[in-house]
Amino acid sequence: MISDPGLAPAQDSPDAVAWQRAHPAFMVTALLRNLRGFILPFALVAIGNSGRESRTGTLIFLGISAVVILLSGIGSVVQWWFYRYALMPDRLLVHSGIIFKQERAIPYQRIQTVDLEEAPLDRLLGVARMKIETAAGGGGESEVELKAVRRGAALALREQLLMARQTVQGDVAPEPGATGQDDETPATRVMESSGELVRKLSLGELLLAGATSGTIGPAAAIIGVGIQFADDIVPQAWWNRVPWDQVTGASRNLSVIAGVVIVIAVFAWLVAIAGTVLTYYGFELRRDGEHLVVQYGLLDRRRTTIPIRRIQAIRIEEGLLRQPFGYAAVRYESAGRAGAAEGGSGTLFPMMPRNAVRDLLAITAPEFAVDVDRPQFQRLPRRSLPRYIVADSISSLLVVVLIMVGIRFWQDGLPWWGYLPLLWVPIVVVLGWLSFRDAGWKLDERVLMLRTRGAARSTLVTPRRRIQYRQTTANPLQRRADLVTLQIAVASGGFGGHYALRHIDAADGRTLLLALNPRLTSAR
Amino acid sequence: MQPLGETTVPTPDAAVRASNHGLMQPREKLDPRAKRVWMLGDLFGAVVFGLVAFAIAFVARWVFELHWAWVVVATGVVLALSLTWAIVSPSIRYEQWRFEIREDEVDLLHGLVVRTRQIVPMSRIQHVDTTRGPIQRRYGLASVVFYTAAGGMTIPELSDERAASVRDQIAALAKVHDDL
Repeated sequence: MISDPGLAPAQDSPDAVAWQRAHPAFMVTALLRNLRGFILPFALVAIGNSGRESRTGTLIFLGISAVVILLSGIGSVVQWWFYRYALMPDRLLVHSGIIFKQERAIPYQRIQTVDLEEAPLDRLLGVARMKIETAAGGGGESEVELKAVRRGAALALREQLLMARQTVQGDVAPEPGATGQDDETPATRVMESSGELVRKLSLGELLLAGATSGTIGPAAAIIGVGIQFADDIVPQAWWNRVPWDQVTGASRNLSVIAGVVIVIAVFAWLVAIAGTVLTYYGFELRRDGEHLVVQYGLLDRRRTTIPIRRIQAIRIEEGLLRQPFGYAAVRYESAGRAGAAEGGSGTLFPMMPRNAVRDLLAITAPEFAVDVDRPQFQRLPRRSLPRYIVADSISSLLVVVLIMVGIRFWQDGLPWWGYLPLLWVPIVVVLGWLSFRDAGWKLDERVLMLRTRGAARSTLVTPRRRIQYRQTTANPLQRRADLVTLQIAVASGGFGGHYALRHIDAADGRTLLLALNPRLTSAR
Repeated sequence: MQPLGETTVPTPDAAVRASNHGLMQPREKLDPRAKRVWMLGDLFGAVVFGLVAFAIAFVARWVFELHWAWVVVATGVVLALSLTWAIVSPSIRYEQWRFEIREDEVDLLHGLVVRTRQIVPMSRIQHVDTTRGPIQRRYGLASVVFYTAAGGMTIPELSDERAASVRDQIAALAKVHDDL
């Protein structure tokens, strides 16, 4: 527990701090980096000019070059001068920026990796570039980059930072003495011994997965390519031989239209099955010690290694077509950082009976083994039903009306089938009602579960301690109905995984905000 | 260290009350000068919006051969709306902003149209920044930005001293590892 209740004295009043700057070689490397962007345009201008022997042209060219070099030089000096760092007793401080000033504080315990890099130029000048990263998200950019540190000093500084961090372990990657390398070593070992098989996708499951995938993307792409092909390759003379009168005549015939639609639908369905088979053929989930290994693919065999302790959340996805069969896909969110094991979300198992998910998780990720088949979810209050239906219906109605207006202009009047898009609106209403019916949450001692539905029903399982932050938002309509949207974020890839449960009771929202305090969990 | 005002001291008492007796609203407000900084920023934005509206209307007039009055009306409406926003919204937004640095969590409450309550456990915070833009520096203000593994969050427009002390508080508390 903390003895000092949040009143840590500000140790870094500006005078007391021993500020350090990067090695002066920074100015040289920065200048060259700044100039690098100008080389190509200048070369082009120089080449373009070389033909004409114009003295003023050459003078102007040299003048501009001089100004650019001078400005870059000044820029480098200023950059160097305004980038300062200091090693405080418990944290690293970095001040940077000229117009937008930034002062960054990194507690040593939060440092995940300290990497040294030497470009050829750096080596020539006897310096190294130092990249310091925490577990914070943000698209792979290092939290601190000291662009020039004397090589000897860099090694010492690296030692110093890693030593300072040693005392307390990190959080997202809770293993003692973590360095950047630890993720690669076990992974390469895994490549050799594949661990024990947990579950294999059967042929039946594979075909069912394809048949129920409901994707039309690949088919649309193939049809698109086909049309392109017909346009480009087929000679004009062939097109001329087509009896267009009969074609337009037939296109007014209902059964012909229906036939074409059915053929396209069946084609799309077959393409979706083929695509799924190509992707997921021979899907295997193995466990090797503290890692899970996933392999799949017919032609292009893919393999992913997931450190179990890095899994932040599990998602059980039941597609609209799969739910009736009692089947679900299991996906994961995994924390990662640039350079080491890439985090992000991925498929743990693409198609399996929902009632077997718990056992699968018990073997692979015990933290997440919950009964997803019959959990007692907290439902939403009745008054949130309109919130699930009204807005979506109105927006879909607007789109439908736009489409109908389009048809009207195109056809000079609205034929009977022009009203078919209206069918979309009741579908949206039903989906909204289903979303309301399925939405819910459940919180127990260990895990938080959120269940939502877009088209697929999705059940998120995340241990309370993995939640990075939580929030509720309420727009004016929600405020009037005393509802809020709950959002939680877990670490995943660069930017984290963000999940929302819409329109829950405001009092429930407050309860959840309060109850998800990790301190309360650990106190139990 | 700068002396802290009454409301800025997160006593352990407060944390305990927050944990045991429901969720308290965060109590601390931003620096009042925030209103002026936001207004300046929004006025600048209004000018930009006005120029963009004028440019679009100008092109539209040329394409659809409209009357000049339309250009004036379109630009005028956009300018009037964004100027009203710039003048009216900062004080409301200021009143809506509350935050509190507790021993175990950072608690934020803000938003004019969409009310947002964000709670970030100290044990999830990776590092903290203070940042100062040109307008902020004129008024002696700074923002505190803190980062978790799933994104960053900002407490805008604190006085330089308060921003520094908030940053140090968070940095000191964030390093305390919860034994989870």
